[in-house]
This record gives sequence, C-alpha cells and structure tokens, in this order.
Amino acid sequence: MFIPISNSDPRPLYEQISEGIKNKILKGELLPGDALPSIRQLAQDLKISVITTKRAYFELEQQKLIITRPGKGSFIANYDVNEMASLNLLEIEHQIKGVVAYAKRTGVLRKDLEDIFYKILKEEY
Amino acid sequence: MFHLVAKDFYINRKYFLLVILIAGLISGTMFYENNISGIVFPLVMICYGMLTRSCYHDDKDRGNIFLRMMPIKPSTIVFSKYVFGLLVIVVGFFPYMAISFLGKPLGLELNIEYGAMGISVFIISFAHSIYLPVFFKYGYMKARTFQTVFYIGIMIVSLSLKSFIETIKLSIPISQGQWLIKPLSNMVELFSQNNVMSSIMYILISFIMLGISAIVSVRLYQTERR
Amino acid sequence: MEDNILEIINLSRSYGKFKLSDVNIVLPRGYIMGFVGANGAGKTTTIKLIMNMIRRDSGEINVFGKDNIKYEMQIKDKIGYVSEQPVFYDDLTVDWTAHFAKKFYSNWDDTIFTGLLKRFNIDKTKKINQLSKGMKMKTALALALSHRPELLILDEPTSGLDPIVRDELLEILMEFIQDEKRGVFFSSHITSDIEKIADYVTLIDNGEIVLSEEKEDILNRWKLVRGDHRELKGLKEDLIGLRLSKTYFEALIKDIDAFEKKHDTSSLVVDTANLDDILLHLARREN
Repeated sequence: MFIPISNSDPRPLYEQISEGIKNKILKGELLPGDALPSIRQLAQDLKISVITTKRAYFELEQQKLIITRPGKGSFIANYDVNEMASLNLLEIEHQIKGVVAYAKRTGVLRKDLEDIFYKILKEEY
Repeated sequence: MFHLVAKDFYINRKYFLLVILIAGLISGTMFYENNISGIVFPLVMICYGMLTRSCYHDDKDRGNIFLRMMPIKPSTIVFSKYVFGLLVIVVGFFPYMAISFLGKPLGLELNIEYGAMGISVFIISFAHSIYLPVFFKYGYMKARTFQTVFYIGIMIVSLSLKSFIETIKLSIPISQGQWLIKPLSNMVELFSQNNVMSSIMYILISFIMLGISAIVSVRLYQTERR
Repeated sequence: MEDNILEIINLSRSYGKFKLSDVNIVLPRGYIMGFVGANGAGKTTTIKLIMNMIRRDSGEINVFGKDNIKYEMQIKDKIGYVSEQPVFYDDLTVDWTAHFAKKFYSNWDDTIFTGLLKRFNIDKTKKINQLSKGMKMKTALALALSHRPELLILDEPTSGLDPIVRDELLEILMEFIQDEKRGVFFSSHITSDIEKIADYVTLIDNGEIVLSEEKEDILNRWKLVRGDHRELKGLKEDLIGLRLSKTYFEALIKDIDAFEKKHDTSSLVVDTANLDDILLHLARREN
C-alpha cells in the first residue's frame, strides 16, 4: 500500500498519512474489511516514528473510517455510503477553500476566479 | 569470575609464552651459578609487567566500558584482577619448580630456595597491592606514573635509611643499642631463613596485604569518576 | 503495556566545572527517544549515569521500573548498549568477543548474532582492530542486540559514519521497535536521524533539559519567524535566539498558537523549524 508522504508538504506527517488512506477509501481502493498494516509495520515501512502512524490511525478511527481490534490489527470500517459522500463533499470544499485563499492572497479578482472555475467545469466535467 | 581471569590470560597469551621462556632461562642460569636469590628481581618484573598489561587492556577507554555494560558486578571485575595477579605468580614460578624437580633424577642437586620464593611472592604482592587500587581509581596511565614515582621514592628512602642506620650503629655503643638491634636482627634472621616456615609467613602476609588492597579497590572502583 | 521503560527523576551530577542539573526524562515502552544536544551538553554523562558507569550526586534513575543501581545486574542483562566509540579488546577477534560476552547474559542467542554479522557483511574471524569505524559500530550493535535486550541505549552511534551505515542503523532500530515491549534511547548530534524515526525528543543544553516531548508536538509548535526589523517591537520577549541580519530578523518561537493569539503575524513569515534550527537558536540565546 503506497501512501504518498512528502517533506515539502506543509501538513504534519500524520495528517498526510490519514488523508492518504482516506483518499484510498474514497476512491474505492480500500474496501470495508480490508486489513491495514499494523501501526509499527507502517512506521518501519515509511521510516517514520511510531507515534506518527499511531496518531494517523487514531484520526481515522475518530472519523469511523477504520476500526482497530486489539491484537488483530486495523481494518477498514463498514462506513456509511451517505456519510462517505458527505465526507467527500467536505474534502472538495476544503480544497476549493485553499484555492480561494490563494486567489485572495495573490490579488485575483472574484470575477476572474469565477470565470476560471466555469471554464474548467465546461471543459472537464 | 573464571571467564574474566581466562580473558586476562588469553589477551596476554603471547607475552605469557615469553614469560615462561624467560623465567625458565633465568631459573636455569640461577641454578647454574648457584645464586638462587638472583631470581627474585626478574620474577617480580615479569609478574608485575603481566598484571599491568592486563590492566592496560581493561583501561577506561578500552575494555572497561565493555565490561561495565554487561551484567558483571564491579566487585567481580576487581577480584578477578587479584586472582589473575596470583595466578601469574604461580606461572612465573612454574619453570623454577619444574627445573628443580626434573633436575633431581638427573643427579643434580637443585634445591628450591623457599626463602627466595617467599620474598618474591611478598614483593610481587606488595607491588600489586599498591598498583591495583590506584588503577581502579585513576586508570592505567595515572597508575603507571604513580608507580614510577612511588618506587623511585622507596629506593631513595631505603638507601638513605641504610646509611642512616649505619651512622646510628657507629654512634651508639652496642650495649646501649641492643634493645633496638636485637629484635630487629632477630626478625631479619627469621625472614631470611631458607625454610618453608619463613616462606609460609611471607605468603601469609602477602595474602593479608592483597585482601586489604582488594577491599580498598572495590570501594574506589565503585566511586571512581570514569 | 503502558509502563515506562526509562525514567529519570531530578538527576544531578557535577564534574568539576560541568554540571548536569535536574534532568527529568520519561520514555514509555514501545518507543524511540532521540537525545539531542551539542557536544559537551551532557549527553554522554547522562547515558553513563543510566549505565551506572559513573556515580550520580542525586536523583533517581529507573529502568524497567527498577532502580538502576540496586538492580544493576538484572537491568543490564536486558540492556543493549553501544558506546560513542565502541571499544572491546583490540587484539581479539569478533567471534571471540561474542563468545566472551555470551557468558554473562542469560538470554544470548547465537542465531541473532550470526544473522546480524551476515547482514552487516562482517567477517567474524577478523580482529577488532582490523575493522573500520562503521564495522566496529555494527559489531557493537550486533553484540548489543544478541542477548535479546528490551532497552537499547546508543550513545552517538551515527557520528562519523556515512549515510548508508546510518540508514542501516535506522532500519535496525525500526525493526527492533516492532516489539512493543521494547524501547530505544539514542543520543546524536545528527538531528536528521532523530527527526526521521524518534517518537520523543529530549533536548539538552549545557547540562539542562530544555525540552522533552513528543517529536511531532515539538515540530508543530516550535516555529521560525522572520520579518522586517520594524515588526520587532513588542515581539522581543517571545522570541528566542534572535538573529538580526541587514534586512530582516529571524528567531525561534516556542508555541505558534500562543504566539498567534498574542501578536499579529500577518506581516511575518512563519516557517517550520527543524531540530537543528531549534538547537542553533537555543545556543544563540546564551551569547
């Protein structure tokens, strides 16, 4: 299981990992019941600290995306499809917010931003 | 304990063969010249040399860290050096005894000088008793310097003492000095007798000395600043 | 298991002019702690105190929950230790050294030792003084791991070693920690190694512990700020190790959240600080 993490990413490592796994769930690469590597295995694999992977899994547990059974490991939870969809929307909202913030910082006008958005929608979606 | 002592022998194995060879050679020469007390000095040097060599390997930036990281009691480390020191004496005397023993059937009259042996054991033990506490407290380099200074000191003191006694001897009439000279000369006579008794006495004193030294060493080793 | 594998409480030791004062460190089982500090900050002294190689003046050290002096033998049977410059008996072979060490441990496992030697490509018939620096460290590591220790204590294991050997070491440590009953305490002044794999970081400066926390918390909270000289007003008391260059200032801040609440940071640049940055600015603080 490849989880993209990068030193140049400003997000903390654990967030990169939990989001990486979340993305795989959203895309359907990981299905309910699928086993995840153990916290320690994943840490060794990525050569990062155990606490980091532990925290990443904890985040996912909080979001009810995975469940951890003591002594057995962590698995993808039987998540609610609707909940998943709303989570997905939340993610999109989050990303658009980033774009808008960037536009604001660089002084792009609201009108231009709207134009770009509709143009892309037209072409790609 | 056994492994520590065995380790000391193993580390010194090459030197050890040399020691037996030299000790044998010297013993042979001494028998030949019939001047057995001459064996004392070389034996002392050899035994002392072997002990300090093993200490060198166990010095603070060397074996000591290795030993102290393992579950070995500090006192065991200390005692093992004393045991090694004693065994070294046995090894040093081995050729001497062997030659005497083998000479008999050949019709050679090679008697063991117990007195000389006792003195040797005493001097070696004395050297070890002084050296080891200093080593366990301050390490190899400082102990070596200390020893050098110490023995030069002893030599100067004993030489001046000798001339001092001679002056006293000359200035005090024999009859008046008896009370001092008599017991002294009695003692000297007792210790210089070439018999098993005096040898045993020397060895006994040596053991007491080493025992006290070992206790001091354990104390110092546990509080040292390594 | 939630207990602590290593606990240091108010440890003090003075050494002529050098003074190690009130050291407090806690390492829970299952994790790696990196011990960072400049040369002479007190890393080796602390480690030697844990190993009871030198005497403490006051304080307490518990390993596996037991006093390190009272239960020294029991504890050392379960500690693997690699010293700054691994020294054994120069004239003896790797194999002999292992056979010697084996006699003193209750849990020695030959297969671990031979396995590690093979992996490290070390010829066990070689004498210690024929090994390169990296090889010596690896031999020491193999010896330290072969009696199935629970706690691994490494004093500057990576100093003077090439990146490949250092990477191998990190790999070994991550493997070691797969068993959650174990722990690793290692000192280094190469902070990138610690930044990679350590769960906890303890920073020592001039004989005092500056911080000892989860690494991620440290890296998330401690930040570098840069800005125009004009912005300095009112900030100074919250800046650590301030450095003024011609056009801007740079300093360390302890807690970005608190800082942002207190000050307007819109015209400042807030940057991630790595352990080196933290060390550097803390060192500057004294001058």
